[in-house]
Amino acid sequence: MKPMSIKLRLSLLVSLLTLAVILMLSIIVYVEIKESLLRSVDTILRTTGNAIVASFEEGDSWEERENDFRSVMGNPNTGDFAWCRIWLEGSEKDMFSSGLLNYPHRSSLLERLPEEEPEVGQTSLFSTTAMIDQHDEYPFRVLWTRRIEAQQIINVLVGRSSHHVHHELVEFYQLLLVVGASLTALAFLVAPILASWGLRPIAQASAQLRKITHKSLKQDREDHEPAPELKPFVAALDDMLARLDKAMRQQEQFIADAAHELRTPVAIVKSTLQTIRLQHRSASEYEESIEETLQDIGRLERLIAQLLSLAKLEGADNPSEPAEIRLDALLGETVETFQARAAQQGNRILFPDPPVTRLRGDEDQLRRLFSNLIDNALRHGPAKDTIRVKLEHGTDHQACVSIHDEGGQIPAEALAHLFDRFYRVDPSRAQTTGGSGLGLAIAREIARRHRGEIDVTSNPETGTNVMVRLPRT
Amino acid sequence: MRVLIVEDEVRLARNVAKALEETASFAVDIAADGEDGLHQALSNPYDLIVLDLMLPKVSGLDILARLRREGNRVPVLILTARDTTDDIIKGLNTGSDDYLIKPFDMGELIARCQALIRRHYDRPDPVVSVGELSVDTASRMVTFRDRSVSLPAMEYRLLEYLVLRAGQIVTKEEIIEHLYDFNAENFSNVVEVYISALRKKLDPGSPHQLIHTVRGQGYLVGETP
Repeated sequence: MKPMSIKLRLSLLVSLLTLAVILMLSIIVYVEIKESLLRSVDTILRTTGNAIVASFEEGDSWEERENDFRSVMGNPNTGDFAWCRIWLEGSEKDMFSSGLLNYPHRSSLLERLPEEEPEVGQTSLFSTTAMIDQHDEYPFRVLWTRRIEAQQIINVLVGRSSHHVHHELVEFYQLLLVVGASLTALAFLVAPILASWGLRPIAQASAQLRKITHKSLKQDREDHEPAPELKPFVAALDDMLARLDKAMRQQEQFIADAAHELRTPVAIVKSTLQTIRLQHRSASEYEESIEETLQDIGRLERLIAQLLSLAKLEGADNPSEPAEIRLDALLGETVETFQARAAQQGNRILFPDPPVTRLRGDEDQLRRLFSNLIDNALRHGPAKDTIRVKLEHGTDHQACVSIHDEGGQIPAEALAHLFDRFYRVDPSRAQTTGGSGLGLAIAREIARRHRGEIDVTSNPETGTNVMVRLPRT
Repeated sequence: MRVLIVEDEVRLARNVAKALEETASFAVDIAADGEDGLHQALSNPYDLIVLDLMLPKVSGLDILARLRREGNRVPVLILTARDTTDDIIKGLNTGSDDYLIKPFDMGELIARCQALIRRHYDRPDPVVSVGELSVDTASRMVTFRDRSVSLPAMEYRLLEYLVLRAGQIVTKEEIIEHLYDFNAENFSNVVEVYISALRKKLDPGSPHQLIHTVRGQGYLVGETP
């Protein structure tokens, strides 16, 4: 799913917020106005009710009273619908009635009296509805009061239509709807502009990022101070760029070194063949050239193989299905493969009985790791050397393999670079040792992939010691 | 012409030396590391130095910078596996005269070496003519009175040096320094032997018309300055 743009999110958020605020304000205003309008209806009812009760108390004749009632109620044919009904408690017949009660639907008003009648001498107000003709039902507010007059309880009901209130409320409601909708629409239109303005620092930062190429990773960008919120983000990016730059430089260096290492044997082979062809030579000279060419091609072959295995190691994920390996057996077999060559060189390799050691890992890789280290010892150790391979259990569940030779001539400043690709202690790349400069880099990479590490110490008195620590199971 | 090759790949150095000796009749010295290379370059008057950049002990660029700082004008050809434009610019800006990337073609290397030496002696034309003698330094063809003359390597080496410096007095020491590599055995009279051999073939009559002896100073080919 396509992610929603931040601009759209912000616009929606602003619009929704506006809508919510308008909605809430509208509701509050609506309720307040409705209550105040109804209150005004109630005030009129109370005034009317009081006037009727007062005319009772004045003790006028019934005719005068009826005239008073009529004047209080006003002309039933003008103004709001209003009615009045006065009856004696217990009597079915009204003492007085006016207004709607003369209409054919009066029953509806009488039937809708609340169950609970007010205490004698008290007044209560309630809402009801009444049919004013065959079709229209209007809302009404009704005042009900009970009085004692000449030892009899007189009920007075005064009703007044609140229809105009509802009518005004509907108009107000429509106004609110129009204004609210317009404001929300305006917010929706303005929000994207606001969002763009708010997001401008991000746009600026990304414009600068876009200028970065693999060649300008670490170049200082024009000093646009980023917005405070973006600072951690920009700082993290700068960090990442610095790491990328370092990796890129290392990669460039590696490619330059690899190119150099690959070109040199090719140059030698080519020069050998072109030189031998300059003039007619004796058979032995041709044979010698062929022999030299084959040696140089062998060197090239080894280099390519090592480059490929390093590339594979670095490219692949960690060993997919690490198997459980008997390290002691693996070391024993590896040492065995070097014995013949060691004997030929007048060296010997000792591998005293190792403890049973199990670890999880890639058997081929581990074999290569120890082969490279033993090969290095044979190549660079002194003549008549004794190489001691030892396997011990270290603390923290570690398997410690040390490969020791009696040399110890590695200068201190070289130790730090020993595992760099193409690094050689003797930079002459002389044919005599024939190393590619990749053996230790490969060894370290394998150890690293097995969550292990390699250390080298070297001094003329104790010799050179390579220590490999691997976690065992 | 005497050339120094500073190259740590022993076999490559040997091949280049062999090709230059056989094809261009140069006397070639080899230095297998930077320290030795710098020492030799400073102590002998080479006509050309073929310089590798990645060398043990002292780097090629350091050698070059040191030579130029000391006012040494020897032509230098950098022969290296470093192939980026940056490397080439850096090499030329440090004072090298040419730059060739490994792997290279031996014929091209030889031609570039010869061109550099011609320039160094201010003889852009590979064919140098003195009177009735004409020497093609590129093909090593010697023509005298319209006849082709074939010369043994040492005699050609001497003749080429003398004609490139035609019109100048060349001392016996200069001849020995420029025509013999470090391993050659020097005999004080060996120069005279080759001079007389050349005269027999190219300058028969007496007095000599081509190779003059300047008493107490050396030899002079062509017109007296």
